[in-house]
Amino acid sequence: MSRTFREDLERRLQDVEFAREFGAAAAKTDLALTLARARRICQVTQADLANLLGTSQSYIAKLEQGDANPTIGRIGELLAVIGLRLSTNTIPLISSAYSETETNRAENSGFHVSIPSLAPKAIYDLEIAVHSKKETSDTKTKLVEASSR
Amino acid sequence: MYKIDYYTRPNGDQPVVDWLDRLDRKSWAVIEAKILYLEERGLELLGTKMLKQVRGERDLYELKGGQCRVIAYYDRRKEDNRFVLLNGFLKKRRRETEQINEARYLLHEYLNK
Repeated sequence: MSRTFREDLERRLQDVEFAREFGAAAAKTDLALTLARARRICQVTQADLANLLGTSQSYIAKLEQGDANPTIGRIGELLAVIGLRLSTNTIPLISSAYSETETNRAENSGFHVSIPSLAPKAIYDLEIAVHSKKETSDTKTKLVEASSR
Repeated sequence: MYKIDYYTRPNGDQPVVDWLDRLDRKSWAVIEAKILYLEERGLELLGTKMLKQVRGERDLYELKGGQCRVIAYYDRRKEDNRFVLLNGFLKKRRRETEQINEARYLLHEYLNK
């Protein structure tokens, strides 16, 4: 019988050790997307960002590949040099939402999930956002525009 | 939201599943996380280094997670934003071309099923 990605993943997540590794990888991946997006919005190249931080362009590339494991402080430093700070939130480890339409998901404003042995059923806010530190800066305007899209 | 399918060959084999089953726990977790984000964000991953288009192939993409690589076909024929995962491999320079050619073969098989 054919296996599916979702069934496989849900089965594997019953293993707490796997879930821990998966959670670590998911956090790095999410951060990579957040950083890449923030950098693009601020129109800063990887090389420029590396110069501002006194690090290498390859380190920034590694962050945006989701392969690096920076400290929270390092993330704060990185965002600060482009006028941003990190705002975090939690969402379910995996959603069971594929069968839901985009419209339904918007109406429900959250995913309904079950994570056996890890957490009770819950509905969480979905949004992980990066907020501007400079209230009046162009950066904030761009981020607000981006988040409303 | 995108749909993720493991490609199933006419004989019932699922090359990505067979490969995943041989991975150690950490590698499996890393590539599964990337697949989950492919399902959630799809082509937005092209803005990072996690997803890249296979050279010369419009709808064939390479998803990266650590040393793991998965070749995925974005099936525009479907209306549900479907990615079909064709095969997977560990990055080794000499074998990369070989694995991408294998994915092309599997894609041809998939399109002509």
